This record gives sequence, structure tokens and C-alpha cells, in this order.
Amino acid sequence: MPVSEVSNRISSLTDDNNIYKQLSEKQRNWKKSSSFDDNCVNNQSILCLFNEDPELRFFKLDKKFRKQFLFQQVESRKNKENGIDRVKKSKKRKIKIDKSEQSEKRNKLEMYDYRHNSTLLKTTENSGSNNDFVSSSKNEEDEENIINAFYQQRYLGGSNNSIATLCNIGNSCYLNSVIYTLRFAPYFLHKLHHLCDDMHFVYQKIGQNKLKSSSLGRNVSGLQGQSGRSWSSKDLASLSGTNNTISNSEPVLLKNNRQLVTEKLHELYQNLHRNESIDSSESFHAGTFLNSIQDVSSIFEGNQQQDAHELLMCILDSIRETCSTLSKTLKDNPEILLPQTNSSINDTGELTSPPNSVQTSQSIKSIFSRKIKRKDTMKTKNGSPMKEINTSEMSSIEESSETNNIKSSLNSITNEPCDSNGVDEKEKIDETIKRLGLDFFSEDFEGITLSTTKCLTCETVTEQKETMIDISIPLGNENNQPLDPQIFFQNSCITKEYFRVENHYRCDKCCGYTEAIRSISFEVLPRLLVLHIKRFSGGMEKISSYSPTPFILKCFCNKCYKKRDEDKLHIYKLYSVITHVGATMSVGHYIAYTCSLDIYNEYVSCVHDKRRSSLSNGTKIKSQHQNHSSLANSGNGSSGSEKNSGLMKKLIYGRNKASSSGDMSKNLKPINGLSKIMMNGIEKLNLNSDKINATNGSAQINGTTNTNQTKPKTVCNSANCCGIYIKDFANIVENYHNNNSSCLNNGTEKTQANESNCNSTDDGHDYDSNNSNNMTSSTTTNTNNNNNNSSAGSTKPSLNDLNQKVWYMCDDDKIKIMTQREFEDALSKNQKVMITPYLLFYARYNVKNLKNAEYD
Amino acid sequence: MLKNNQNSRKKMQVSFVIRDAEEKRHKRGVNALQLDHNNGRLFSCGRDAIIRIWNTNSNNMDNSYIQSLEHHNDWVNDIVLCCSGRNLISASCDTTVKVWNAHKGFCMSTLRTHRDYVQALAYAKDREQVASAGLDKQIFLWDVNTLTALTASNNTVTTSSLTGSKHSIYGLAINHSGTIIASGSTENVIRCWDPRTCNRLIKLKGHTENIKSLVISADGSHILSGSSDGTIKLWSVGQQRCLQTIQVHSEGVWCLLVNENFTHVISGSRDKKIFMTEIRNPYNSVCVCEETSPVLNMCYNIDYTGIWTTTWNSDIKMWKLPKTDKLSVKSQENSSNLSLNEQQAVAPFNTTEEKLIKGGAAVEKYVVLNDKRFMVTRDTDQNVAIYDVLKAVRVENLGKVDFDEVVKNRNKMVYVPNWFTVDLKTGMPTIVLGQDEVDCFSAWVSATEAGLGVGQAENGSDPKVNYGSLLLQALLEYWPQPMADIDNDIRGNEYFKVPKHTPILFSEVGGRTGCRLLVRDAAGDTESALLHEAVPSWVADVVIDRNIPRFIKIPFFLLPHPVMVKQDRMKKDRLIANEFIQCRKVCEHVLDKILENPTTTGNGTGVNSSQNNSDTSESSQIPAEDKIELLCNDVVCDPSMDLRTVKHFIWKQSSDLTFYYKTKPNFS
Repeated sequence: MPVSEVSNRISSLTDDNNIYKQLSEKQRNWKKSSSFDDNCVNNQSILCLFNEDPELRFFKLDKKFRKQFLFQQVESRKNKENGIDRVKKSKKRKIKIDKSEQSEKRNKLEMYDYRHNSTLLKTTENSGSNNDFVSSSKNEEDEENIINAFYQQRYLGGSNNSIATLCNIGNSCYLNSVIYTLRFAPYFLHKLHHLCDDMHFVYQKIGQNKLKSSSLGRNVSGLQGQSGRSWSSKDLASLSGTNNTISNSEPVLLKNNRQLVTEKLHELYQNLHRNESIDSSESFHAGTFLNSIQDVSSIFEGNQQQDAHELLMCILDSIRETCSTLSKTLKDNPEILLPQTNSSINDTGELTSPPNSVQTSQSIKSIFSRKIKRKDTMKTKNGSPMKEINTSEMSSIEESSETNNIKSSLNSITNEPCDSNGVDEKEKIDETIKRLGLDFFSEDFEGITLSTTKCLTCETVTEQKETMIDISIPLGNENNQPLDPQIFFQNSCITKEYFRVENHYRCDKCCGYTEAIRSISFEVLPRLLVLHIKRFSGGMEKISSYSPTPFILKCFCNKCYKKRDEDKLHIYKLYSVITHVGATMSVGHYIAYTCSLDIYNEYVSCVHDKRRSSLSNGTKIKSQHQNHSSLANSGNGSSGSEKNSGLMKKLIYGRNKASSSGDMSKNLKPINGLSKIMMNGIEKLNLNSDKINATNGSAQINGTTNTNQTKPKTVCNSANCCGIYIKDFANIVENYHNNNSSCLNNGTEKTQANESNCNSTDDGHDYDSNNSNNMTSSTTTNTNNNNNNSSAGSTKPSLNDLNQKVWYMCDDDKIKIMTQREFEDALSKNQKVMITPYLLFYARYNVKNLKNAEYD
Repeated sequence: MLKNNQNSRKKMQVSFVIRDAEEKRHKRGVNALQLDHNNGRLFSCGRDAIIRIWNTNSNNMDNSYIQSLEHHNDWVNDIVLCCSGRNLISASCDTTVKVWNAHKGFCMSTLRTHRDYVQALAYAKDREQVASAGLDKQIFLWDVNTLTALTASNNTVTTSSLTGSKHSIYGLAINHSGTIIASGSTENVIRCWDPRTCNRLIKLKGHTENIKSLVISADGSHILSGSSDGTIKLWSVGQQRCLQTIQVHSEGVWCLLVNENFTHVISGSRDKKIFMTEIRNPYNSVCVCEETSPVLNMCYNIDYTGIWTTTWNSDIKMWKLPKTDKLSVKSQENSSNLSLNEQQAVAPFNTTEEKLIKGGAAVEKYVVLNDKRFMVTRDTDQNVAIYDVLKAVRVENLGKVDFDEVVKNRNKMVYVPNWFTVDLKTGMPTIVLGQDEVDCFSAWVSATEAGLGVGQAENGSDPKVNYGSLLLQALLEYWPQPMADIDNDIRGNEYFKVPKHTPILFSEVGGRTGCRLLVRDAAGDTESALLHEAVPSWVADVVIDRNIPRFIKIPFFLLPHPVMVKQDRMKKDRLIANEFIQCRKVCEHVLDKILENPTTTGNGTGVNSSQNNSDTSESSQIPAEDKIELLCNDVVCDPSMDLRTVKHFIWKQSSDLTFYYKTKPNFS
């Protein structure tokens, strides 16, 4: 998580007192946690900021507000004798951060940012290519208010959340490190939440359906219960091992142990979230979760030290099972997802208020589908676009990973049946499952290895594909290791093996034994890549040789491997390292180092969330959400969304028409506490999006002319359920995102280095690390870049600094913060006490090549 | 002949080939060709382990077959004709290099220095020196004259080896004068040595895949290499670099021929095409012909106007070569604007071959029937045939029928353990008997069931025969035993004989061949002496000592069926019996031993039971199988089924067989 994560809610700034209430709340609830250091730093920096920074004049709060704000600050300072004491105390501890240095940098950063932002404002104002977005001065001020407020909150005292910790429950560092890691895995919490949610939902629905079909005479209500989760392990003990197939003859829906693991994991994260939200400093006891693991695999029984890798595999296996159970359940009960053939669905595929779950699913799909022409689209199949929202890696294996909106939409149109009756139901379900991203495990965690065997005599080549979850990296002689970590890992992963001498290969073509070469490569690498350094091969002895830990790993899937660096399609960023300290596996300690690559965007305008809200709300909101989806698609979609991000950016900086921007609160009810300005902006965006799209010739943003005007951006509930806690998540996300977008416009040349330092350089769900290039693609932002270039000289360092990643060293219940540089130093070979990484976790980002046409 | 070391610790196996006496046609592909320009004799070595000699002088090749040189046991990978066609050196996958008298057609010596497949040979004409190299990464240099002078008494030869290769060698070439030798390997690098001094010379890098074919110019200044990456490269030895890369093929280049002036190269490739290319100007290239399968090797015909080619098929064809001067003319006719690919798309120079030596079909698929005696096979011509493994003959040729149907129809519900394995690498079924994974003595079968002569059996008795034992005895029928007297000189088995031309091989399991001979030759002095050394003990046990292989017994439980009453406690009787006894014997046992027990049933038939007397007691009464019913897994067992059949088909579990007996209703 970047240090600059802001946890305060940015309600509309025109709302009175909201912000101050938040502030004082924040000040009041001073956290005592190890992230305290951060708070102190922030505090200090803010003090500096307010007192010494000559650039305060850029702080364009309304005077009234500013006064109050400052007053609050002073108050809080007074109230925090404790805080200051703590500063002193913390100094006694080992703190890895050079606070002063960092705060200094921050000051400078802010100045630069402000300058930059303001120039950006000006330039975008002046671009004039879209007259619609010419801002009135008042709007500009509003926009700046937002930005300023954002920055305030970023560096306000105590704004940083402490991260919830886990306590050691008996050699459970292996468990804690894995839990921390998964928590910071991009999108993982979000998807886990929805998985559990969906399972619950599905089971409920099935229960309801069974109830309805109780003409069978079976009383099933008792078995379902309110919460499908409320099965105790005792109940399951007698039923364990049974498959969760639901046939019409079976009234009972059983949950196996693996499902429980998934649920308990989710609950664990909920607890952590709760701890964070209440600023509790207590470390959480993960006993319930551990018990569920022990039910699945008896290896973990007792309190001995275990292998973190094994636990990780166990957890992933449970999740995989749960995903497949969900899919299977859906397939067995197609009525949950698919509409009845005689359900009333209007031609436009628009939303109707669903009388039952069946139609809900239909409307769900229509909500989710990103249709090019709404009027043309039929009911169900609108294939790939949905996936693009949900997952960064868009393909199922068949699809090219570069399918962008147009292509996929075109595909979906061509794939669509004219008449839903003629379509195989099973296909539909598969399609829907894929589309809704319900079975995320295989995309996220599974890769495909391709084993190519060539007989050297007849030279026939046979191929074999297998799925893999992690890659084991053998550690050989230290001296033989290539210096370049990239090459080191690539050589370990992509291997060649000779079959010869004793190990002859039986060739069917030759009908005998011959020599052969087998090479193993990766057709697809999982989005969340796990590298397992084989330190414990064989016995309990540990191989402590040095292994490099690159923060950026170039993708070596088959598509990328052969290409030159600049042509590669994917890139992997390190988000977590689990290291092992100790001489043997049984006497050792695991520490997880995690950072938050990007936790914001995944929660915004989540597909599932819309479904939830659409289920619970009425038509109006549905339609809103429909537009949200269109917005989301436009704003957060994948390839081709660059234009949208540009538009988004514009909306931040106030391209509102005067008419609606003046009154922020009209027509809208804040949903999830969103900024009204945002809403308006988005609203405007939509209206104009058509035009933009028309001019740009892209058909990505749906024509929403027939929909409601209000289209707020929603934040998925999961953020508030089990995500990493951030107050006022939605707005933070919004602003942070947009600020990042703006920041990225600074550098026209996106070198890898820059990318590596950029946090959240994503556009929506696309992990587009080459954002600026994408932004430049939109006609409106081209000028931005040009203008920025002129002032860009000084912005580059600020870009890096601003987005400097911060790593959390999670050692059971102690969490310490280090900068990326410190972490790099700690990992280097020259240390006295060498850190031995054991598991490396990477997340994949798509690299958009500047050369590639954006609209392909 | 070089002696074979007695490898007493290594496991030995015995194998033989079921084939006709004379196999005039190649089965499977032909690996190499050599033409004797003096008399037009074509030598071809094939993947059926046989070297054949053909007369190519006439236009009609139907009767061109002259002779077969059979001594190898595995693919013969390369041959060279030395000493003006007097001697032939061959290299084979059986790890041996053999020296042959080409005119008379017999094997003179066998060189066993290699430890793995020998893939390539190279011949330096001026020095009568041959080099052999293979997958064991070794290159050996041989002096031909020394080789041909080997006799049984003078049987040692010294050889020098070229060291340094770290990878398996697939290609070898030496220039006429023997000043430079080049090897191509999976290292993708051409290594050169000076064979006179055995010094390493240079390494030529540039290919990206295995190098299978090499040609060196007469003066040793240039090397042409064909690689599995599809390219042909011209190298300068002096400059140690690649001068030219010729890319005419789309798949690996497996063979090269160069004309005398070293101006044109003829290349055959896995893409089935043969191209003739001007080396210095690769755009002058014409497709000589397009074969039906990947081209393995080529050689010039007698007057250098055409080439003989071999492929994965067993046919050998002769094609006419375009004239070299016409080559460039022809290319110029094809407009120079055409890219190389387009040129290749132009029709090849030849559409049909000039001469054809037809090859035969190779067995490509087999299924052994349940009786483990007959085997259904299918060959590359889709002919289905039935083989009798026991008698080492082919019994039936069914023609082009459905293979699976035949298998289904002929399979009986009988279980005989596996006692042999089948190897199709040479295109002819090679049956392997061993004691390794598959015990060749595990197949005990009733003689009557096997259809083997019942005449000798006593009336009513059913002698059991052991397939493996019978076969070994038959194979070594002609082997004289030094210690045997006339009376006890039982040779062979009493039931059948195997074809005399059947070749027998004694070899190490997964290793090198010890000894090869034909059944009929076992009588010869040298051969029999050889046999005494080569034959493993378990074979000698059966063949010489005439010991009977041990029976295989299986344990089983015999329990009364729950229907039967009056059993207070279930006493689990664990019995053991020969696996081939029939269920009726078990019924008899039940009757005699158990039910006759007065304490249990007291049915008082008054028959005293002892197992031995069961025959007599039963013969006078109703057969036991009419009184007692045996059930296994709730299936009534046919009395004539033997125990192992029951266990295999009905019981199907690894735990001990359990029978339940009950009296039949009509039993009083």
C-alpha cells in the first residue's frame, strides 16, 4: 500500500462539516499499531506542510473550510500529546524509514504535483478539442478542491490505516505469512469475497427452488437455513468427502471441507477488515481458519512448523474446488443463471425488474454485458466484454489476450444466436460463468505448461499440456547462476531435457528407443504467479544460497518469450515475498513482505456489485447501474479504455457543463457515499461519450441515451466487507486513480523503470502499465502530453517518488514498513544476514505497446 | 570374431524373429545406400537389420535381389563400401560395427567398442580408413586392412578414438585423403579433428539444431552440412566460418550429396523433397523430385546421371538428375523474380522415378490374444495376419480386414499369464523371452487346450506344458550337448519344431547383443561353443538339464456358502494349489475333504477321501462338479475353468481368491 493512501472520506466538499467530522474522528481514534511510524511521518510532514510550505497558496480550499481545517489540525495536535510521545517512543525502536528524508520528499512531491496538476488543468482546459468539456472557472475550483482535499487527506495525520495483524498461534508463521500475502494479492480479496457470496447466493436460490418444488414432498427448508455457512464441522464430518453435486433428487446441499476453507478464509479477512476499521490493535487469532485447513489436510494438525508452500497449495486447492463446485452447481441448476425461455425479456435486452431469481440472472447479464448496440443485443450471450471487466487477463485460454473491446464485442455479436431457443443451454451457462468471472481460479492461478518432445531420429514432435499453479525453481550452485535475475528465472522455468543413454525415449513412430529432446515452456502463465524456490529438497536441510528477487519479471509465456523486450505482452510485478529464516524447515520462521500494487480499482464498479445492488434495488438503480456499467466499461475497461480514462480524467478536472455542475446535489442520491461531483462528471461523460466515440470511431462506450442520467460510480461492497480497509473507499479510489492518471501523463516515455515505480498504473482493471501511452492515444490527451512535456522535466522524479512502493514486512503480529529501496537492499547479496526468499509472488500486467494501434 | 565378455551379472534375454526364410524385401525404411560402381551392385541397409545387395544394371528391378546380409539385430544405420567394393563396413543400433565380405556376402568381424547406437560412418578412400561414431559420443578410427585381416585367432585390433564430443553424434564425414574429419551432433556444432594426429581442430557454430549430414570437399577446405533446422551451410575450414547458407528445405536436411567439382549439392530432407542447388549461387536450385516420405539417404547411380534414394518407406528409387549446366538455365527460365519459395512450388524435375526396387510391408501393430499364443498383427499395407508365437510361424494372412474385429472374434475367455514381449522395431515380430519383468516360464497350459499332441498323454490325464520351456527347447534343438549320451539325448520338445531359419539372439536386457545364430546353425562347432558361453543359466536349465520350471501356485480360500447351514464357525480354510487346476478339482476336494467329514455333514456316502484317490472314487460315481457348485464373487464357476482364469476374470482383486461352495440341489 502506498503510504499516501488516504483513508478519509471525500464527500462532496460542498457538504458541510463532513470532512471535518471525518478528520476529528480520525484524530480521535489514534491507532496504536506498528504502522504508527507512518502516521508520525505523515503528521510531521503535514506539520511541515502547513507551517512551512510556501506553496500553500495552491491549497484552494474555501477559506471558511480552510480555517476550520487548520483549527482542527491545531486541536488535534494538542490532543495528541500521546502522539508526540509515541513519536519519541517509536524513535527508540528500530525504524527503517528515514522520516525526515521522506517527509521532505513528500513536501516536494506535493508541490510538484500541485504544480503539475494545475498545469494539467490548464492544458486540458485549453485543449479545446472537446468544447463540451470546457470548464467554467467555478468548476475548475471545485475540481481543485477535490484534488487538494485528496492530498490533504493523504498526508493528514493518522490518515494511514494500520494493517491488521495476525498473532502466532503456535508456530503458525507459515500460516500468517500466506494469509498476509493473499491479502495483498491484486484482486484476490475481491474475488474471494464474491466467490463466497455467490456460493451463498446460489445455495440459497437452490434452496428456494427446492422449496418451491416441494411437490416432491421433501422438506428442505431446514437444511438450507438462512446462511448456508452455518454448518459446523461436526455436521460435515459425517458428510465429508461427498461431492456437492446437486441433482434433483437430492434435497441436501452439502459443503465439503474445502468449501469451508474458502469461507473461513473469507471470514478471516472480514475480521481483519473489521479490526482495521475499528482501529483495533489486537492481532487476530486465525484459529478457526487453521482448523478448517486441518479438516482438509491432516498434515497441518497440531502446532508444528509447517511448510508455507504446502499451505499455500492447500488453500489454493480449496479455492479451486470451491470455484469448480460453484460452476458445477450453476450448471446443474441452470435456472439460476439463465432465464426461462418464456420470461419476459424485451428486445433491447434492457432491464426489467425481475420477479424471480431467474429473471434476475437475465438482467444481471444484460447489465453486465457491454454491448455495442444495445438495441440489437439479444438476451444472453454477450461474451467476452464481461470478462474483460472482471479479470485483467481477458482470455480464457482460447481467446487472445489482446482482445479489446471492439473485437470482443464483434465476436460476441457474431457468436450470438439469433434466437436463444436454439442455443445449447450448457453453452449458455458456460458462457455466463465465464462472463461473470465466477470461475476465476483458473485464470488467476492456473497456467498451462507445454511439454514438447521431439524424437531426434524421426523428428516427430509430440506435445502435452498440463496445468500448473506454481513454478519450482531449483537452486543450484551459486556460482553457476547467471547474473541477470531474469535469465536466472527464465532458465529455471523454461527447461530442456535430453532423453539419452540410460534414459532413452520410446518413440512410437520409430517403434523403438531413440534419443529425444523435451522442452517445457509455458503457454499461459497465471495472472498471479507463484515461484517456489526449492530450498527444501529432500530432507529438512535448507539450501541457503542466494536467489535473486527481481521486482519486475518479464513475462516468459510462449507469446512473450521470443519477443523483444519492447514487444512483450505481459509483465509481472512482485507483490509479495515470503522468506524463510532459519537453518531447517522445522526450525525456522516465515516472514512475508507484501506491498499493495493496486487495491483501488478492483473495487470500483465491480460487476458483481452491480448484480447485488440490482437484485436488491429497483429498476431505477438498475438502470443507473447499467449506465454505471457502461461507464465502468468505458472507464475501467480494458484495451481501448484509454480514451475513457482520458475522459475520466477530464471529468475530474471539471468538464462539466455549467448547468449541472452548479448544483451538485441535484437529482442524485449518493450511493455508497460518492462524490456528487463525480457523479455529475460521469453523467456528463456519458452524455458526451457518444460524441467522443463517434469522433474517434470507436464503438466502445454504449450509447446510453435512453438511460437515466444519473450514473454514479459504485464501489463494490466487498471493499467494505473483507478488503483492506480504507475509509471512504470510493472517493479515494476515484481520486487516487485519477491523480495517478494525471501523474502518468507526465512521463511521455514510459520506461520500465518508471513503470516499476508507478503504483496503480492501471487503467481500470487492465493493469495497463503503459498508461501514459494509452492516454496519449486519446485525441484529447495528446495535447496534454505535449504540454506536459514542456513542463515535464521536473516531473519525472516526482513521479517516481510519488508512487514509490512501500513494503510491509509482516512478521506475525508485527508489521513494519519499508520503502522499496530498503527492501531491495535487504534482499541483495551483500547483506551480512542474507534474506532467503522462499516464495515469490508476482501479478501480471498487460503491457500496451506504444506501437500497437490502440484501436485494434 | 571378437569374443563377447561373459556378463554374468547382467540379465540376459533370448529373442527370435518370426519371419520367412528369405526376406527379399526391405521392411521399414532404408537407412543408407552404397553403390559399387564397378559392377552396379547396390547395397542397402535397412531398419529391418538386414543389408541387401541388388543388381541395378537392368532396367527392370523386379529381379534385382541378389542377397541378404543378415547379422545385425537392430537398425543398420550406415554402410560404407571399401577396398574397391570388396568389403563392406556397417554400423548398427545394436552398438556393433561389422565388417563384411561384400562379394561373398558374409560377416567377417564384429567390432564392439561402441556403447550405444552407432549412427554414422565415414570412409577416407585414399587411406582406407573408416571412422564410426554414435550416440555414445565416441568416434573410433579403423584401418580397413587391419579389420579385414582379422581372424578368429588374430582377433584384436587397435583403434584410435577422437575425443572431445560432448553430445551424441549423428553425422560424420571425412575427406578422401583423410586429413580432416567432421562430426555433427545435438550440440548444433560441427567439430573437426585431424584423424592423422587425433588433434582437435575447429568448431563451426551456426546451426540451431542437430546436424545429421556432412560432406567434406576433397581437399578438406570446405564442409557442407545439413541440419535439422532446415538449412545447408557451406563452411570454410581455413576461415572457420560459414560462407553460405542454403535454405531450400522446410524441414530437417537429412542427407547430402556433392558432385565431383563441389559445385552443386543434392539434399534430401524430411520434407520429402530432394533439391539440387548450386552451392555458390543458391538461387539456382531445382527440385529433383518429391518422394512419398521423408528422405533418409541417397547415393549416385553408376554413371552419376541419377541418384538412388531411400525413405521411411521401404522402396528404393532411382531418379534422374538434371544436368548441372541446365540447372542454371532452368532457373533462369523460371523468372528470377520468383522468390525461393515460389521456385520450389514449380513442378519438380522428375515426376516419376526411373527405377524402383520395391520394398515390403512392416508389421506396425500387434495384439496378443488372451491365450498368449496367437498374435494378431497389422502391417503397413493394412494386411492383417495371425502369428503363432509358440511355434514361431505365421499361420494366416487375412488380408485387408478390420483389425479390431479380428481381435475381438478370436479372443477367448481364458487367462494365461504373459510370458513374452514383442518388439516391432525391425518391422518383423521379435519375440523376447526373459526372466526379467516377464517370466517366460509363467505360462503353464494344459496340453490338450493348447492343441498340442495328446497322443503321449495318458488317458484321462491332462499334462501341463510350459510354453516358454517348450519354445526354448525347440529353438535350441540343434544344439549338441557334449555330455549327453545317445540315450538321453533328448533334444527339442516332444510337441513341435520351429522353423530352422529362425534367428535367435542372446543379448543383455536393454543392452548389447551377445550372440546371433540361426536355429539350424546351432550344430556348428563355433556356434555351439558360442552358445555355451552365451546361453544364460535359466535357459540351460530347461534346455540342457531338462528341468521342469516350477509350478505357480495360488492361494485361495474355500468357504461354505452362507446358504449352507450347520457351520458353527467359519473356519477359513486357506488352501494353495497350482494355478492351472480346474474348478472341478476344487469341487472334488470339497466333496472329498470337507463334506465327507462325518462331523459336519454326515451324509455318509461312505467314500473315503484322500486327494489321491479322488479320481478313482469319483470315476465310479457322479462327477463332483455335478454335486458341488463353486461360486466366486457370486458367479458360478465353470468347472473347466482353471483357478487363474477365475482369479483374473471373475475375482479381479489382488487379495486372495475366495470360493464359496454349496451343494447342488440334486445332491442328496
